[in-house]
Amino acid sequence: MIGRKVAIVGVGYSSVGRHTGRSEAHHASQAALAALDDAGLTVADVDGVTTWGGDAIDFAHMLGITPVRWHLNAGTSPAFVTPAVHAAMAVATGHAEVCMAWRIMMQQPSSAALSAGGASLGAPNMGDTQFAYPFGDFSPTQWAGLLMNRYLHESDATEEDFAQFAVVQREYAHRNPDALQRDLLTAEQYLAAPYISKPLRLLDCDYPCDSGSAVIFTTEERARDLRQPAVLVEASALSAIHNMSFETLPDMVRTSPAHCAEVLWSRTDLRPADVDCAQLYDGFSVITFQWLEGLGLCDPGGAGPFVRAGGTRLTGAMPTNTDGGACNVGRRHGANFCIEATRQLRGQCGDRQVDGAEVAVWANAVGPFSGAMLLTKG
Amino acid sequence: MHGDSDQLASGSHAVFFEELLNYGLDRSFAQAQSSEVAKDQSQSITPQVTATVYSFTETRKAFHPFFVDRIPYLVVVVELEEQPGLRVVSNLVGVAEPDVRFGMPVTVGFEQLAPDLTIPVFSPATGVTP
Repeated sequence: MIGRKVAIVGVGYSSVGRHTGRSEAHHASQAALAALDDAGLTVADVDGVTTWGGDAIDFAHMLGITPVRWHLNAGTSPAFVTPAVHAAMAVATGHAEVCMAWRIMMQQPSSAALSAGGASLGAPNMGDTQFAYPFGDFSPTQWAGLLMNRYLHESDATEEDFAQFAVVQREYAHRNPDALQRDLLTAEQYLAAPYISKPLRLLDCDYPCDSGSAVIFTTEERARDLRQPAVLVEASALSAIHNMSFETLPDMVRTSPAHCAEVLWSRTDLRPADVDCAQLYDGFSVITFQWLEGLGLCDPGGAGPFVRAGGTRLTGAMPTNTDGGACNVGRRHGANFCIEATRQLRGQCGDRQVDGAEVAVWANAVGPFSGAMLLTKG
Repeated sequence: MHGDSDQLASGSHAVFFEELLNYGLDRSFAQAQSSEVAKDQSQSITPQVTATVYSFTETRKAFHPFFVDRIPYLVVVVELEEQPGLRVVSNLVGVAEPDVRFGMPVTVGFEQLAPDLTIPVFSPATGVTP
């Protein structure tokens, strides 16, 4: 990475849960204090703040982080990776010494609330949505259904492979005290769960919740004096290949992750074979399949057979989503993958620890846009 | 509600369809600055538009009160024959989900959702072999 070498030194979550009744600010505060405690830092050390969800400047003021030398409120972007990359860049360029990145995400309205007319999915300003809403195309589950169906059509994957993926994710979650869903799952249970937008089933979707996540970036030099083993940012990449209409993507199978992975690998001498664990966004499970292929962690079109053969298991060729994924830890919008990658490289993952993990990749989003970060043990 | 010739001839359908087509063209050719192309293309379109199914999904949950009584319904992305790569979102009607095939030829029809809103929907082309 250009500039100063950057490290992740602190990670933390709020009291994540369903309908917590707490505000964004409350979740931001909890997550920030947890991350600071993890790092052995205080608010006086922080001089940069980035977030998607809430307002970074308000959060900083609330916490007593002042004055701030770097700040960003990310709008719609590829989940947590955007505030994370911009925090890392701020440290790399010297615009900040210690930068905190948040993803605060409040539980979204249910289909029941939406269909009763008591809620809507965002403000219908009728930009491009005017060409989707009249056809009953409102929800991300629907573009995900379109992407998953096309993926099943073009690849070697079957619905049973998606069942297996969910089963393996739950096995990890069973070993993760932070997970919201920890009971072991069978393939039959996955297949019996209702379709939301066929072929997308309920258990292909991340688990709605209120969550606050925070990650602290600083220099490698500073990291040496802090509480945790340093985890270094080896490379990062953001990508956008299309406007925000997922439905009109020219290719629904090879989307932004394929491009993002190219950019990521162009920025490091490490290769896919060097990766010890992968933490790949599962807002919808087909997204993880695209990342496995895009990053070169399995053959093109081969994520289904790879999962079927146990490739994503702890004992498999590429342990994947070892915290159980957002399907089980709840919708922390990609921040959980940064935090899990960090904990794996620190060796703090207990009975879901990947032995000798030295290189981890985490990645967010799909379709028009995405981002990824490659981390190494310091 | 589909395929009524009087409805096809009415102005509102043409306006919506032109917008729809321009939308697709603008997205496909934004870098080519093809507004003139878009206009020419839209004028050449007749209601007998044919297209092929690129992807589809059967929505089983309602995300808006209007659609509560319509589930399950098919959301489809079709590629219009007039221009390779030109895709639009629509509904697929007149076919059950298990019978839909990728690449299946479909033709446009129109459905009036409200007095001031008519949308183009697609159904399997008859007499055309996939």
